[in-house]
Amino acid sequence: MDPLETHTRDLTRRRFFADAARSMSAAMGTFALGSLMDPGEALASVANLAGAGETPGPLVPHHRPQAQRVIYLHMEGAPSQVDLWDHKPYLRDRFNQDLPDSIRQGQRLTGMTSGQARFPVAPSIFRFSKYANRQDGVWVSEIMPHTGRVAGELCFIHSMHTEAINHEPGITFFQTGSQIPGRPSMGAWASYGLGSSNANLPAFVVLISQGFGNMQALSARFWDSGFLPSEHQGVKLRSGENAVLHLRDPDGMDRDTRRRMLDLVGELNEAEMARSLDPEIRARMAQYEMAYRMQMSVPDLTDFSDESEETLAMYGPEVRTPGSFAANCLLARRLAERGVRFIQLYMRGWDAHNNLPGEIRLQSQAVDQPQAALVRDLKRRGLLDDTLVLWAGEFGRTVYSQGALSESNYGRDHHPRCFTVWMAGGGVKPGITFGRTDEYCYNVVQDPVSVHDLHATMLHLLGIDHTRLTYRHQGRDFRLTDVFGRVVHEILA
Amino acid sequence: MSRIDRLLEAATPEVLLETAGRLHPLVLHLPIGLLLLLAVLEVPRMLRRGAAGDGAGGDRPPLIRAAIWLAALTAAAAAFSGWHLAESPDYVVGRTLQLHRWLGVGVAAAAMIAAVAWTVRWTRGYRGFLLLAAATIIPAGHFGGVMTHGEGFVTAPLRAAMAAAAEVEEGEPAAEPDVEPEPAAEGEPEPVAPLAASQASFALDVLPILDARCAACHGDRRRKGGLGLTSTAAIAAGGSSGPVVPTMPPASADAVAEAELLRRILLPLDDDLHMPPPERPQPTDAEIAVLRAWIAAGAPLEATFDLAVAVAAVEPEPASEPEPAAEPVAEPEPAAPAPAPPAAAAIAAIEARFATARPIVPGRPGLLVDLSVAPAVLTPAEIAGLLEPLARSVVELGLARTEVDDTLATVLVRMPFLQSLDLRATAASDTLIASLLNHPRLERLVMAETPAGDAVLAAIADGGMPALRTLHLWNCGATPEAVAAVRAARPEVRVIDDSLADVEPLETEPPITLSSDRPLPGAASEASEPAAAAALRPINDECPVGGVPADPRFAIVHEGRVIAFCCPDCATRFWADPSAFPVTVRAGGDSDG
Repeated sequence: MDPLETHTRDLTRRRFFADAARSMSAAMGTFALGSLMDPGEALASVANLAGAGETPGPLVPHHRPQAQRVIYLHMEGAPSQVDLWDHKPYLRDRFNQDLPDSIRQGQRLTGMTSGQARFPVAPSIFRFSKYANRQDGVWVSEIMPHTGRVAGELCFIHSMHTEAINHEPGITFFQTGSQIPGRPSMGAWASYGLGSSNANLPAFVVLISQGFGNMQALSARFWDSGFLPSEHQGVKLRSGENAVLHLRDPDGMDRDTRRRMLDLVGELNEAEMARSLDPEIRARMAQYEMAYRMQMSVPDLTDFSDESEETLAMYGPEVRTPGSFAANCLLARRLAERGVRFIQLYMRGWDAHNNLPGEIRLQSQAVDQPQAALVRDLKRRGLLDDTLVLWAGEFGRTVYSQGALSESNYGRDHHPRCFTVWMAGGGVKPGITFGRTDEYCYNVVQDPVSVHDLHATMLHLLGIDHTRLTYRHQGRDFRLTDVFGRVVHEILA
Repeated sequence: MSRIDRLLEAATPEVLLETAGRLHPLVLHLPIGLLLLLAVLEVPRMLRRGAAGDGAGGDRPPLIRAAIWLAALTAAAAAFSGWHLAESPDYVVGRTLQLHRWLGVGVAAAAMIAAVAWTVRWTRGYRGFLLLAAATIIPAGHFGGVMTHGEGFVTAPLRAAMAAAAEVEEGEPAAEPDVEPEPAAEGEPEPVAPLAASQASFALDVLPILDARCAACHGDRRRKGGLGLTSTAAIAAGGSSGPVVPTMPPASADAVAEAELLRRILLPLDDDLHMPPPERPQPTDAEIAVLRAWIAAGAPLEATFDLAVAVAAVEPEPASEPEPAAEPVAEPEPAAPAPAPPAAAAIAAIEARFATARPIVPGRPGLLVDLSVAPAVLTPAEIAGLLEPLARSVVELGLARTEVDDTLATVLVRMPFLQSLDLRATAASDTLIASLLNHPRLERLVMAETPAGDAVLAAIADGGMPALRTLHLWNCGATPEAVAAVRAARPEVRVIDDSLADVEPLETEPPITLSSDRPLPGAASEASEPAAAAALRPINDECPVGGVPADPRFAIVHEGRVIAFCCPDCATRFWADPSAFPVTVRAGGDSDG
């Protein structure tokens, strides 16, 4: 298509008045520029004129990427770092003592424990084992034995902290860099900046697994594209027989008929586009075409029959249950090898305010073997070299017990001041731990890493300077890290 | 057809304008001299007559009338010719050229008005516009000189002498952005790294030479012969007569010397085609050696090369024909370097098959090509056909799960810049992979889930693929003995199979016993509250880091002791190195417990 024609046709109303206000020479310069750009670039740059933003286009990545894609295992509900990763044997001798005020320092609490008369220390009742890594070993809880075995590949960050203390703002902050809803999700930023490597699949795919514990709401805005063009929003694959609803042609419609129908609808859309100049029509047309191609690519993606028995066994018995965390981990690997840029898994049910030992045992059982298998499988296939795996909840959990404390049961409230995440592959140093918490596992005492820092580091690994990937919306340039963020160079390989 | 006829036919307006443009250096100096002379002559006249000298009388030497008209007409001619000279590909229309252009036009206009003013006896107008023209011609001439000779041409010897006197660190003067080292290079330290450091790179070793010796005429402001030598895009684009460096390691020393860049330098000094021009500073032998090694390695713009290797004999199939990917692009634009047209078409062909081909970093040479995302639809011949035109650009190549066969070897060996090759889950054979054994740059090879095995591993153990750092072998055709042999022979190579399978913990905690100073809830009375508080009372009164009274609010628990500090910063410092800060325990600290 002639770029000048495209450009003229994509002239929105707002753009029209803005141009008219400019001097004649400036307007002519705009058109001259439009004709100089190559068609693809011109198309890309006009795709989001409604937001008056520009695609980063040919400027991203800013440097050579270490990671081509991300698999983000989000543990929704916030798993307890004290019971899984952050080994605090000293607490065993402080069972049921009050948490010192000098540690809590008057920190705000949620409404769920702010009324408690006392804050008794609840040491983890799980035994930890030490696994070899590139440093002097790392302690991992007995309920994550498989993950412990791949510790040589993992980079534990014990010093994560966040600003939010409740789930919705916490997850929103982790996903979008802001506690307030409405910003684009990290996967949408990656899609916007780097595009897709596979035209047959979306660049940002979301997979959800139900958990066993207390489950929090999980809303689609966590993977929304916010003000970025709509095609960058995450596409949720369902766990049932149809991974994408209504993707299959209805009975009696063959693929040729579908093609002819799409061509006709496309012509009508083109006509509407020429009339109303609404760029969303173009996004809709792109999504129709994507769906048509996904009719071929998705069945191949979700069909595990080409996996060896050994591989299936490695992910554990649940791998044959669609929608289980095991099945989704294997699906994540299959998406990764098909070039999907950002694969977001959610494992629900970590919000153990009461009966934590029982709940976390079930939760860990569901994730431990699959996530370890994922790391191992990526590694042996050579995919871990350029795939970044992130395992994170939205915050941590308190060292003091919420509700009744006994030698076999306790609960834990939300804790934003410190928690543990781990990463693997994609240019992160393997087999290290980074950052330390105090002996009450309450405050970070060394190398704090904020959510913005984590985002900056992940974008850096994807070849993106987090200060330069911006999108102009409502008169200002937005970025994932807002005005914050430091690349944590200490954990980069 | 007579010679005159041919001449008339050839003299199209474009050609005539280009010819006129080349007269610019000839005509521009006359108005400079005349305008400055007239301005100097006018000053005493102004002083003598004062501001009242606007009358019709007074002396009006006829020479001035001739001089001002000559100045005005030559200034106009200079502006006209200069305008068309700038259209030639030798020049980059940048800020300097624009300033020069418009200042020059201003001079011509002011001089013309001054001439008319003289003729109509408007003395005040004559003086005003003459002085304006004379004042404008100074910056105009300056920017013209900057384009011809480079910035800081006049003051360069002075600055070089000052730099020498100040004993500035070696190499630093060349790095200053405002110094164009070329004219003063003879007096400067060598910008070249010593040859002893065998590994070299374009940016650190070659570019400084090109900056010093070539940039004045082939730089950002000027591109004589359409050739720029100060950016990777411009070098890749070549000059108007074609590429100046090869894109692959040449076959022989003779072929290295045939590369246009080196050939021109090596021509005798009195040869018309010799570069740099004989009146310019010439590259030293050491610099020529660096350029020779660089070209011998295939003129890599990103990868390093070995200065010790004068001729690379590593490529099994020297390609003798000129490389299409190095064809010059029409108008090199430093701001938005575009892939050469053939490459763009080849990339589009790959994208049309829903696979990936894109620059690893935009604007830099080096492509990532990933055909694995469109598996099972490409035949081996199609794969070879898609890759063939991009062979010299591919740095990372993903072929996992595609249909490859041994015929692909002919394409792979023609990828001199290949660093990463993923052949996972393909039918790649020992024969195919062995074709890359001599590859000088291949750093990462994935042969997991391929039938290839012992034969190629034995060759790698013997030193094949010298640059190899990562080797993926899971489920390939190799025996455990062959894998062990590679591990032993090539310790620098990370050999990855499925080693995570049998990791066991180093140690496990003993069964957990929970203890407390306090009884369990229900059994306890509220009276025991102070005891817990006391147990958590800091053991010290003085901050071990700051040495001032400690504040119990800033306490940490270290090795079972509660230690207080004066501020959170001190606690952090203590935590980083507890042994550096001995803690003074409060006398009788436990008395109230």
